[in-house]
Amino acid sequence: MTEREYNECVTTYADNVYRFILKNLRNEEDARDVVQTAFEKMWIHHDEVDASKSKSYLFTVAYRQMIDHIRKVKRIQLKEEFNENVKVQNRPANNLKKILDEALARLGETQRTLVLLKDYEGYSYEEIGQITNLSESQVKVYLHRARVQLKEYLVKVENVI
Amino acid sequence: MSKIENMIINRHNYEECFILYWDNELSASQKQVVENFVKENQDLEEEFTILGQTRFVPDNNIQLEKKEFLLNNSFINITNYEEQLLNYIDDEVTADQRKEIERFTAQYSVVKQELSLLQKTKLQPEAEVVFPDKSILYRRDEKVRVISMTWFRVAVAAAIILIAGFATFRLINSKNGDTSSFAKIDNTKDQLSDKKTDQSISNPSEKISKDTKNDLVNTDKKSTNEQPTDKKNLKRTDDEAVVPNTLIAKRENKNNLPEERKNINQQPDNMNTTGDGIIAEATVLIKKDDRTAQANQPDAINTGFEKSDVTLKANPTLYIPEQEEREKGGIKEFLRKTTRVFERRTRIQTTTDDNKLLVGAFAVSLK
Repeated sequence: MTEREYNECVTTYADNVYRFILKNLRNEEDARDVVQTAFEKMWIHHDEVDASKSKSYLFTVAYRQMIDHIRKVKRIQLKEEFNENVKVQNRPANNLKKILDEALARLGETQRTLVLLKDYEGYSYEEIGQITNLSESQVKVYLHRARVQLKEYLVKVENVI
Repeated sequence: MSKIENMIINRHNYEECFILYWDNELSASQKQVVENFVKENQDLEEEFTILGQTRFVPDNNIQLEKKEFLLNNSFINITNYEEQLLNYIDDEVTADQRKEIERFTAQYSVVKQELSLLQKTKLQPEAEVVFPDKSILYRRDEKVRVISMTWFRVAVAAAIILIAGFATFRLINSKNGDTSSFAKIDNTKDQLSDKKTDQSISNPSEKISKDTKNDLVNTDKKSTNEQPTDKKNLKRTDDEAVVPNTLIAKRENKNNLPEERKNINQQPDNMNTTGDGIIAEATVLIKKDDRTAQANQPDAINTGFEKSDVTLKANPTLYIPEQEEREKGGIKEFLRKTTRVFERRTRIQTTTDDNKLLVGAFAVSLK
């Protein structure tokens, strides 16, 4: 990867990776730090990185950096179980996005990551598996579970409304 | 009373036999026995017929439509449709499978509703969320190309550096030489002017050489113009009183400047001669300033000890600081220009953004 390709990568993917990390960490400064570190690491190894795989490389580095950050700081409690104790208060009926964000926040870290990589970036199960170091079948199972949980949450909310 | 294989049918148990008959649990001979019993007892015929009517006959008009989804060999069926819908919204199906799922979904409203809900769970990227300051992420490749040099190239480079160093050294030395010669020329001019005043005091061009000693000299010259004979006499007396005869002889010899330089360089003791020139000039001035005072106190000025004091003071204060500044300024300017030319030619900055000087690598732009 040349200097120009690296800088193009910054222009093209910096926002994407920032969104992905921000949605997971829910802290702007931490997300910025993680993204910056990820780009620094990519720059250090830019001679070894294939330009065509720069996005995948970047997300992989950023994801690992994020996991390290979570483990280190422990600001976010890792939950694999969907939080059932949802309090629905003063929620506008048509605000699907807000409801969905709440549902997303109640997913476990892994499931949330998988959903974001799938929906935001459109990665395939195989690519997600490479980024998160999971098998393709694991990705499929976790992602399907997450999706069903999101659906059930929507149904529940709609029932309440 | 008839007999049905080990069972006797009579008016007490005929009901059970009638039910068995209509449930098709009797053999053909037994059925015949029941039918004969009904004929023999006409009052029970209606009851026999009613029991027969209670039976449900399958309605052949009722048929299960669209039975395909019950077949387990199909791609999407009632048992796996949710998984296929998830694959569908994750875009993990082929074009053919996509069409099949869409066809399946269109047939069943329940499945359609399920798909609609799952599609709502799909997140959309938030375009308004952007990385705050991308400029900190951009990088510039600051690699410098290090050219490996063979011994021959190293030798050539060393020779060039030596020559350049020698030339610079010579240049600086020549500047020093010019400055000293400048001082000497001044002295010589002074001496010449002194001499010429001896010969012809009325020459104006010679008077201009004394520009720094303006007023006194002018007044002095005016006086000499007015009274030339007095001036001559006065000058002679001044020369006789202040400058020794040997010095006058030396001055006469100094008309040829190069020879004088040689003498100075070869004989450091003769530096007094140069000093004497300045001293002579200074003493002339002093004499012109305080001619009357000099007449009163001639010994205080004429002593050689005081001459040497004047010499020590005159040299550093007049010439050396300018010379040093010129040397420093010249070297700095030379280095600055060299750096600028290098940066312009190679388009490589010799300093980094944080003002670090790149040292130890020779950078050559390949552009």
